[in-house]
Amino acid sequence: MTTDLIRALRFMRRYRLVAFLAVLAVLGASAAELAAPQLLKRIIDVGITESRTDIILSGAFGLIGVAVVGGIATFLQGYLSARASHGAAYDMRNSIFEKLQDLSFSYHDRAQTGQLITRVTSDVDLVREFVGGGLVQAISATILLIGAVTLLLSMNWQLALVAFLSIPATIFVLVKFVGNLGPSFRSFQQRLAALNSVLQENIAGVRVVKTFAREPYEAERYRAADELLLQQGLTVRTTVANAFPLLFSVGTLGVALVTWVGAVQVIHGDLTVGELVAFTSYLMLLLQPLFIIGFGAQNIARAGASAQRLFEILDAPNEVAERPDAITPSSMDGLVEFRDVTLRYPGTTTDTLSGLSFKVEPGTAVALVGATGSGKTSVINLIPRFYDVTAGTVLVDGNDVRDITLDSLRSRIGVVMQDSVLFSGTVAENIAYGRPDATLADIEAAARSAEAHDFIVDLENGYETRVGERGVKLSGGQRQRVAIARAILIDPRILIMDDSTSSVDARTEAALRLRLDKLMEGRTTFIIAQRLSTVRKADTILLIDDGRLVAQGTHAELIADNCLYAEIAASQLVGSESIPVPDHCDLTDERGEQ
Amino acid sequence: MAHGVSLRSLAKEEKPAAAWPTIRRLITYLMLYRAELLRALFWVAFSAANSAIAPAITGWLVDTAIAARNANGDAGSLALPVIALFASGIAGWWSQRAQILGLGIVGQKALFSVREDVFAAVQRLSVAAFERVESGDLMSRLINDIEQVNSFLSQGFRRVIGASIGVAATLVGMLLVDWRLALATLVVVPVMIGTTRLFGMIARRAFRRRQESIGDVSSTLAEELAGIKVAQAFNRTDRNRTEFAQRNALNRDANVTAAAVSSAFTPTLAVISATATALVAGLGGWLATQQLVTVGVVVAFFAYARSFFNGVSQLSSLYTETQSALAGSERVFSILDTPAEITDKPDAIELTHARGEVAYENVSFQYDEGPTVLHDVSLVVEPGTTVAIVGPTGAGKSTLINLLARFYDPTQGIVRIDGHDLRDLKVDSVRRTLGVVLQDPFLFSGTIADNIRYGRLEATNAEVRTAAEAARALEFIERLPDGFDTSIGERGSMLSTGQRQLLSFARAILADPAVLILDEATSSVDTRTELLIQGALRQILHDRTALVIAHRLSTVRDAHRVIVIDDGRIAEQGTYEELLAAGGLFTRLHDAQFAEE
Repeated sequence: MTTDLIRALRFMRRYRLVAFLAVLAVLGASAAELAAPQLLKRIIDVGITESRTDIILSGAFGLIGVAVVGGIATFLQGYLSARASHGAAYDMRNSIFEKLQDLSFSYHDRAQTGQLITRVTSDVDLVREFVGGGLVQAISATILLIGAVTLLLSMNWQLALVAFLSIPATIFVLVKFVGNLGPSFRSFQQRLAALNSVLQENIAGVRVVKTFAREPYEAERYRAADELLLQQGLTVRTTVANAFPLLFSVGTLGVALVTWVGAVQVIHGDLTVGELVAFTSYLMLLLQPLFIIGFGAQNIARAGASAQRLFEILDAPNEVAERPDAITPSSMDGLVEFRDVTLRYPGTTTDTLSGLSFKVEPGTAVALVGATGSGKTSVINLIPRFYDVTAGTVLVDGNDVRDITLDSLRSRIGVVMQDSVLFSGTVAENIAYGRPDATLADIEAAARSAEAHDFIVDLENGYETRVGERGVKLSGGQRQRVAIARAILIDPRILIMDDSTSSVDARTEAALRLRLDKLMEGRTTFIIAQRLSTVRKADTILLIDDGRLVAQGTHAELIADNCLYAEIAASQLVGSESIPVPDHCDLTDERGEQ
Repeated sequence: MAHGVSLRSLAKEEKPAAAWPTIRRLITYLMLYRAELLRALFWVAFSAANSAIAPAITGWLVDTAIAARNANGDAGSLALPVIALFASGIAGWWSQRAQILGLGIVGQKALFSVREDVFAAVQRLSVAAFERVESGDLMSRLINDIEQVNSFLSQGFRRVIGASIGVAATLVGMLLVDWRLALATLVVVPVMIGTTRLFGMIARRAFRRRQESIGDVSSTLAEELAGIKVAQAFNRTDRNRTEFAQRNALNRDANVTAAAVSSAFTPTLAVISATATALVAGLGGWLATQQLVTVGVVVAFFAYARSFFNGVSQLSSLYTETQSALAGSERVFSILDTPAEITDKPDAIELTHARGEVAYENVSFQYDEGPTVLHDVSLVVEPGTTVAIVGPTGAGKSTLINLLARFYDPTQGIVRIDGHDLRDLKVDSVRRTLGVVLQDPFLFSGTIADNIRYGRLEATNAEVRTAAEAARALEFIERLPDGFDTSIGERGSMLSTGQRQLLSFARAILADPAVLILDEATSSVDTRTELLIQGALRQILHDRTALVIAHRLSTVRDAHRVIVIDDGRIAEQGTYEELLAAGGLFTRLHDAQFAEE
């Protein structure tokens, strides 16, 4: 963990000059703080004792002047360390974002969005506070501590030794009492989160709670969590009450002790009153850096854990990395071939696809048919190289996809995914997502082909209507059509559509299908569809079961003698009223015969 | 010199509509723990008085030392002031500790009572109240507001009391020691208050921008992560990178600005309080040379000035903090005051052993002031029969179910179970009679078994298993690493929607209700699994009343009767075959779904 923190320091390297200036500013501020007691001393010892009004006046103005100089230095310290640390945070966030953009689908399948966001926001902030703010503070606190010790010793070494007694006492209190605060408070936060999640579940699941009439049970659950929270709240308060008054009292008692010993020296004429006043002020300056270091040290563990979480992302291996010698073919015909392809997702123990081989001629339409979970989506995800095969080869135009640059491969493949994610922005921007420089005419043409133009112009601002979080909410079918337009606009050689018209209402779908038929001409098309009519028109049907290719052929061929196909066609495909099932098949058998 | 002022707290800007009623109400909660509160307040006063006396003791010690030096006396004369000084130090420690502890305990306990009341209110509120506001919004507001009350009761209120009593005591101390120097110290107070307010205003803007910009960064990130696959598929990663960096840079700049504002605040206050010290030094020095005050008094005033300004600046920052805490409390209390819409009549009867006859008599319904969703619907479901409800989206299907579960009361007409008007029955007993499986099944954090058992808490493991089997959930549960003991994460996040539906199905089966309601219950399981469930369903529905809402018309084939709802009215009813033959709305819906050329 500490090594991660040290690694995190490299983000500060770019800002080391600013950080250095911040340390200088701290020294300036400290010098001003050290000067003020000297002025007080002069006012008391020279001004008052010798009745010199001019000394008193100049001393008073001096105090203001010192405060101004010190104030400027303090401001610079805050400003400069913010520049340095937020600069570092900016770089950290960018690096993580870039890494996340590059990581392959299999990483994102496993990652939790909420967690990643916390890392980019709070974890970066914790590390920033530590390597940015904390570092400047630690360096300057150390310098201040050394300065105060030297100054006290040179002013009056006997009194200084008395004053130093408060150092071990302060350290003891910091370690023994203040150290408990962090863990105790974190446990409070955890219990608070637990309580909130009970509350949250009760609000989100209000219907379930009420329909099962489980209010008393929930109230008990909540009360249990609430009592745990109360107990921890009381513990935190006790810890605070034990720590802080004691910590400050060590200082107060140290001052009292110094005042006493000093007063004795005053009586013997070894010390002036002004010196005594100055001395007690320095004592507070002596303890201040100890507080800073003590409180800062508490955050080491937390910042370390945060740094570790950041590097977990930055160090994550990218499974789909581009080869350095990857080629960029000048065009694509759309010939797709799978050779003995096996796919096993990371973290699983079974193969999702095994021994898959097929070849698809350019410009033909392929329908993938199979039960839910049979591996259809996995097959099509391999073509744009969203995942890498575990064994075997996927070839496009005869090239292994791993030998082609990702850009050149993906820019010629249009994918319409199962759930159509749109981004906040205008409808036009969403359609032009893959080709930001497209003209409005191109965008409209794509929208027409996706049967989306009519509903888009009916929107409040037409193509300029904002969608997404802060905009209009489109229906599932509308989103799917925008997603289709988005894929069409890049004029792909290979078009992949994963169940992409499932939410489009029946009437629109009929029109959309006519458009799509035209679009598919001249492109290699892979379709995972729910409707029989779509499947029926395909040049080839690939029947997938349990990750294997069990049959390949046209609808007419398969329906004649494949029981599994007949069963799936009957149960899975919408519009299957009149599927004739081959006589030898027994549909009650779960898998059918093959 | 630490001023204990955080600009962050200055930057909050909310104000309560009416402060006093809210304060009174907060005090009522605190007064629940009256004895502890009084004891704590005693220590607050004690600690303040002690802090006010301490500088005077230092002054006394200094004067005694000077007198002893001038008289060539010995250190023995110091005994009394030294003892007083140490005694005051120890008393300060003890009283501060007692103060923090006492007020802390009272605050935590009062907060506990607030939280209990909030939960009770949330439970009492009807589903209607939750659906009026987005539940996510309600949640974050509630948590934020309680957090405001929390921070006030555990920190703010202690500091307000401590600082105001402390400032008052210091003022009294200063006036008693020397009124002229006291007035000199007070001169800068208006300047200090003015400065604090000015900074508060500037800071508010800076902090709001900072908040917005980090919100922007995380929402951009959330969106990019949600769409990362699309971004990679469409080669957009470079462009996204630039866009993210732009937002990130805005956030960085907003942060630096905010830091600059706060970094300027503390030194400004320090300069003002140094001015006061200079005034004390100048005036005090002059007075001392005129023999009007002793050196000890001047020394004491340096300490007074410091603690006085600490107190004043704390109070000025607490002012805004308190305002926003009161605004939060006000909203929390307004939830407590929301009346429950669905309550039991005093003479409501318990529905037991229901046969399961459901009847709607001339029922009309509108949500709040909205359009009428149901028009004069009459419908009787015989015990033990299955009725399927179909119709276009928004036709009013789910409303029928909301009325049956008594999430709402009908605007006109009567809903009956076994002949009883629902409003004459205890709500709990009505709902226990129903088993509901919703379209988007909600699961609680906990294990798979916990979630199924939610239907009947006292069910044995064997019964849970049987229910899972009947819902066809057993197969996937057994494939999970810990089987029934697998914990399912936040709202069932590790399960697919289909799997969650199967679980909520099992949960309803375990409850063994007289009336089963399936609201799009199988829309996300694949058709094969659905076929299996249909088999199980036939068994479960055998002698049970059931209302089934379904989009997929194939799922309603088995129903005894199909009701077609359109625009809040019953458009057609009959068996599946009858309706198909009739050639009405049902036929059109059917054809659209099974469009075939």
